[in-house]
Amino acid sequence: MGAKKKIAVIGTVGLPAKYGGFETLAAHLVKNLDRKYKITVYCSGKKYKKINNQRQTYYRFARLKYLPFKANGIQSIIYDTLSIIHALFYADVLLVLGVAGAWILPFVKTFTNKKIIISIDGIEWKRDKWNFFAKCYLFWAENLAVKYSHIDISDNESIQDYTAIRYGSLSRIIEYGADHTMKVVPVYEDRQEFPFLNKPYAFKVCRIEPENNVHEVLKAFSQLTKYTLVMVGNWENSEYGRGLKQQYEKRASIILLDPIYEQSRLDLLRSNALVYIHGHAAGGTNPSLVEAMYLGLPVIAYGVSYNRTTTEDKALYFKNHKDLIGLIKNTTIKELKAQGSIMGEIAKRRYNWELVSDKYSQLITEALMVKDKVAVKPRLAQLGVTKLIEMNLGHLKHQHLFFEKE
Amino acid sequence: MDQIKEYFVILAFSLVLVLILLQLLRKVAIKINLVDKPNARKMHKKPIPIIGGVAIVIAAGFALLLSPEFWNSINEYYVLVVGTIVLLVIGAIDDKMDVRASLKLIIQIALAYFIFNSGVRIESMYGIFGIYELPYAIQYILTLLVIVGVINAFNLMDGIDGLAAGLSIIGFSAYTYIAILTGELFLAVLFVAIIGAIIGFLKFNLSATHKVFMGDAGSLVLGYILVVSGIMLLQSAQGSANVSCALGVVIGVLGLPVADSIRVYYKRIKSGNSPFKADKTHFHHLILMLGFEHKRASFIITFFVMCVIALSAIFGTMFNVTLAIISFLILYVSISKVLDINRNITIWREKIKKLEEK
Repeated sequence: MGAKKKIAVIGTVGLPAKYGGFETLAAHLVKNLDRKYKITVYCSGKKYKKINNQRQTYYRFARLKYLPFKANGIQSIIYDTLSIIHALFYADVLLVLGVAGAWILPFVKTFTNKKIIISIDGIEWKRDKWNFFAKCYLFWAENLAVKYSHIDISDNESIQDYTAIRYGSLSRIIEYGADHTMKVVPVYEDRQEFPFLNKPYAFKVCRIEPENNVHEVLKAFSQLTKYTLVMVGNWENSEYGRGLKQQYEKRASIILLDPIYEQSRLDLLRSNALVYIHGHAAGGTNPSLVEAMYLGLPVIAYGVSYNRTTTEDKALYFKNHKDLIGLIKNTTIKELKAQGSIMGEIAKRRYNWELVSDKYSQLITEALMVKDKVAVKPRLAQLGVTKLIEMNLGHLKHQHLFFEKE
Repeated sequence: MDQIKEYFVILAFSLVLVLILLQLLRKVAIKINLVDKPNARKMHKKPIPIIGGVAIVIAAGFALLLSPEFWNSINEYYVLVVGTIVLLVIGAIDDKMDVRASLKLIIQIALAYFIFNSGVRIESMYGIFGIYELPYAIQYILTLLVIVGVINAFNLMDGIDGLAAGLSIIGFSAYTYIAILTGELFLAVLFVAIIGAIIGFLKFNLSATHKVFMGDAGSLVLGYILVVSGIMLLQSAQGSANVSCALGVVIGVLGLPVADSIRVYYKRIKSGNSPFKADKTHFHHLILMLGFEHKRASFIITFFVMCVIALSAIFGTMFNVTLAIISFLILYVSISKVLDINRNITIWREKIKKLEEK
């Protein structure tokens, strides 16, 4: 079999995981695969400073390398690029999370024999948070990322449809794990600190951005005075957030909390909720949604394709605050509990880290063997119709492919 | 000073005349169905009379009759008159009932040949890429190519209200400066008359209630005059100290239409389509995709070209024209690439919205 293959994980802020989905993913990949492969993870020196021993050289059996740049924002371009270049010197497979460094991939694919697996992370260029030039760069980079990687990963079937239509490529779907969360039983001090734990409440945790429909949810609950809403997010980070906080925080039934980074504290508030509200309108499979599902919470989600796919179309869906009000008022506790079990079953089946790591491991093995990328349509389909009919393959010319849904 | 007074008079006369003509001929055009009917691809919503071109030529023509320079030199510049009339007629017929593209092309090539034979030709590269005097065969091919190319390129620029007119105004204004510099007084007066007519035309073109188009009749004629008089100016400036400035100006004026046509033809061919297949990928379409409305977009492009002409003239005189051309090309390619990405983003955003709603 030979020596262990060397894998470089590029594009995350770093380990130990403190920031978001990609970081948690990296942490679990290391946890499950660090004996099977020699893993190096690149970290941002700006977030893991030298003082106070914040910088570890190893995380479990994975080596950590630090770069003096931020991993997000415009610095991500140079952060990812330098990581990729550095990894070329030793790695067999580069696992790149995010498309910021994609501009260099054509060179990597042409001049080296390193294998590239790239995860395109939702459809980044569409996000309202980016300015015009950032959107142009990300749109262009996504194209390069899919064309010049050996395998590309989407985290959601709807994104797989998109890449199939736009690039003709077959993205692999690997979602997120949620089994790092757990139900937390509140103790006396908790109930003192958070009185709402003593009664049923709806819960939502997200970045405070218009795309997450924060305003719609707040508007709905401002008219549902008999129902409590607890929302955790970075209210102070934007004009949008500050405005909403000012508008709604005085209501007794609406509780707005600042970001909570400690997993167990977040789980405390989350796992004891009656229902989870998920307003995300963009970006694939959201870690916060799958985590809520794993905790057995019934879900009322914004009715966009990604959320439906994540919940297998079995949750409750809303399009605006009116729908949400209707759902809250008209769904019984019994129905909610049943909903919760269904969500929990889906999550146990699909969203566990062992399964995710296993899929990644399979992809790594495949990447090491493949030469060209698998396309959606067979190459034979490019031949003319007469030729295909001669070969009895006429049906290949016009196929109904998986992404052409009714 | 008399010269300047004369120019003012000609310009004003031309302007007033075109206003009168357009007011009168608008209704006539609608009656005889010389209108542009809207379809899915075009930008306008109701039928618009296409008499701008005819009105501009008639108005400018009559204004010219007032000037002594016209009567003095008409023999030398008859090619301009002949070509204008030919293209005006063909353009008007095309506006009314769609002439075949191959026929239009043949007529343009014939005109180009006619011009070459009359002595108006591209004889030299004036130092671009270090080349000067050209061999006869190359002169022939290049002249034909450039004349036919620019006429069509300019024709393609007439896509949104005010664009072809705006580009013509600044183009001819810059040409007027060069004409005076090189002593081409006939051309100077011609340009001034045309500018006056176009300004009057613009008033109607940009109006919401009395809109008119210049049609193929207009854009073919204007493109023709721009390219042929451009060559004339260069020939006249040759050997003099003004040649770099003249070169810079001519390239600045004709650069965008030419570069844009080449880019669009290339992209269409690369996608496996005919280069003449109509789509919305011209420079002005890309600018519109940034979210500007038509008049604003025309203004932006016209302003941009005005800066390019100025910079091109200055660069050309101070440094070297080859450098100016290369810089312009790099600038143009970068801007179009970014605008093209933006266009794709806009298209895909719509497609994804549909996917997300399923």
